[in-house]
Amino acid sequence: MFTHKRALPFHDQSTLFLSWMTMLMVFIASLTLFGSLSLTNIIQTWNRAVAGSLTIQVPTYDVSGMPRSEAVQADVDGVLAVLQTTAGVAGADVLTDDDMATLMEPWLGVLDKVEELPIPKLIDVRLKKDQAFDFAAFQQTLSETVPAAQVDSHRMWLTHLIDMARGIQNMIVFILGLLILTTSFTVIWTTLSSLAVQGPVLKLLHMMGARDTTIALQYASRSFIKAFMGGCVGFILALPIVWVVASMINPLQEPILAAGSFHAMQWVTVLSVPFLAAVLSFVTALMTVLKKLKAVV
Amino acid sequence: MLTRPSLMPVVDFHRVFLKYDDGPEVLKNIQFSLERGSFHFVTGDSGAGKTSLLSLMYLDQRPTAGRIQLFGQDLSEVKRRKMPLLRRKIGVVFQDFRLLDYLSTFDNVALPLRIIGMREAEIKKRVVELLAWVGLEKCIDQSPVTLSGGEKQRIAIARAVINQPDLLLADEPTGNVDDAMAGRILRLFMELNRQGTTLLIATHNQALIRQFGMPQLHLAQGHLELIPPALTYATEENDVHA
Repeated sequence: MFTHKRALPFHDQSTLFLSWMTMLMVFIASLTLFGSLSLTNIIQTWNRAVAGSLTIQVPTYDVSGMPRSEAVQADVDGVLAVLQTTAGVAGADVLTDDDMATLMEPWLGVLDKVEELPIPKLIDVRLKKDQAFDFAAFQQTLSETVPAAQVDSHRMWLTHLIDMARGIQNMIVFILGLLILTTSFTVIWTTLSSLAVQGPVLKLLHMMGARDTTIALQYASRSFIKAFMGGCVGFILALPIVWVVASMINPLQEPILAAGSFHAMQWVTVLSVPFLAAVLSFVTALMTVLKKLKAVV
Repeated sequence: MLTRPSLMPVVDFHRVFLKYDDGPEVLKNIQFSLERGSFHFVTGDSGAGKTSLLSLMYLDQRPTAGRIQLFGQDLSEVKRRKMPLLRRKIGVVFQDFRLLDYLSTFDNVALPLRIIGMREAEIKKRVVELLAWVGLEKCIDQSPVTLSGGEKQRIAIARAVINQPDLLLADEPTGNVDDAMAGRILRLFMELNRQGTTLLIATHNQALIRQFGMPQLHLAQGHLELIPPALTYATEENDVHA
């Protein structure tokens, strides 16, 4: 078969440029993709931390240190009433004094009279797994209905952090889109350059009766191989950087970039970057050459 | 009225004109037919339009005006996807050889066969045989860059005839070879012609024209004139006795 034996030169300046550019693009794409997937894992971890339950505190003493004994029960009832009308709430339990004593025992020892301590009333809220819970709306309603009640701030902080991480993720997706666009333009440019250089060869192949698709497939195959080779080098170069960054982050966080933290599909996605770059080059080159050849007699 | 394919001319030019961009007309009102199995020389001074005439036949360009039929098909009506099939019937020996330097001699000659998708075993058999015939069996793995002008010319000829084309167009095919090799190449052309290939050879080589005594398509100032064989000899004698 004609395509098995190359009629086009395998190397020229344009293909060298394609390899270098793909190496750079895949290098950057691999880093951003590693970053994006790590963020996905971090968000999932944080989501797990905040999902499923919620704690609401009702203070038993006011800011001046005076007991709020009568107001406490009214506030607890108010919180329970709000919870009953909030979507995504599976149930709520008010922790008893005995429960509180048990919780405090590791720090304060065995307590006889918990009620004498300025410990707030805690309401443990269970959230439904299959229904969304609008934290911001709930907090707004609660602050209007029971101003003294406080939702645990840890969740609040994490929610903001998750929003920020999602923002960064969107930015990474945008960067990946730009990289795909740049790679496509690079392939188009190198293919057009190569076509200009190889014009006489094309003409000769045409005169011998080669079909447009045959010539285009040769170009596209060459682009695929060159892009794949460049892409593999770019990917390999990105790995040590990922490893160094992961080593720096891991002591601060749970091991987000450790081998075990990426599941199989994520590894497939990351490993397929050089291949996807090569496929992109193949398709772009094929379409560019076919379009260009239509202008030839 | 239907014409039997075998009786149709292989090449038929009807009032063909050609000019490049805004330049003067290179070919003017060209009108001729080549029957299947015919053998013609194309003659004329340098710049007379011999290469342009051939290029219209090997579909490198389209005429500015007029109609060209190849193998009974009007080129202006042939669909682009059908063009490769038409081109595969034509063998071309270019004046500047147009060999691919990054391919070996073998691969250069094998190119037309690979384009039509022939089996590699058959390609090898044919190419080796033909390269031996043109005396290039020792250069089979060499790049054309390392070969002499004469050797390159023989590769170009081998590439043009390897596919046993129906129409062979040769632009100065013996310009870079000695007389002995020129005679050998011409015998190859004659053999192809005997098997039915229509031949059109552009040449300045008067000795060659005298030796084979075939009709000439003579170009002068863009106009074409058919000089029959008898007249060729007459002209030759006139030249000799002048």
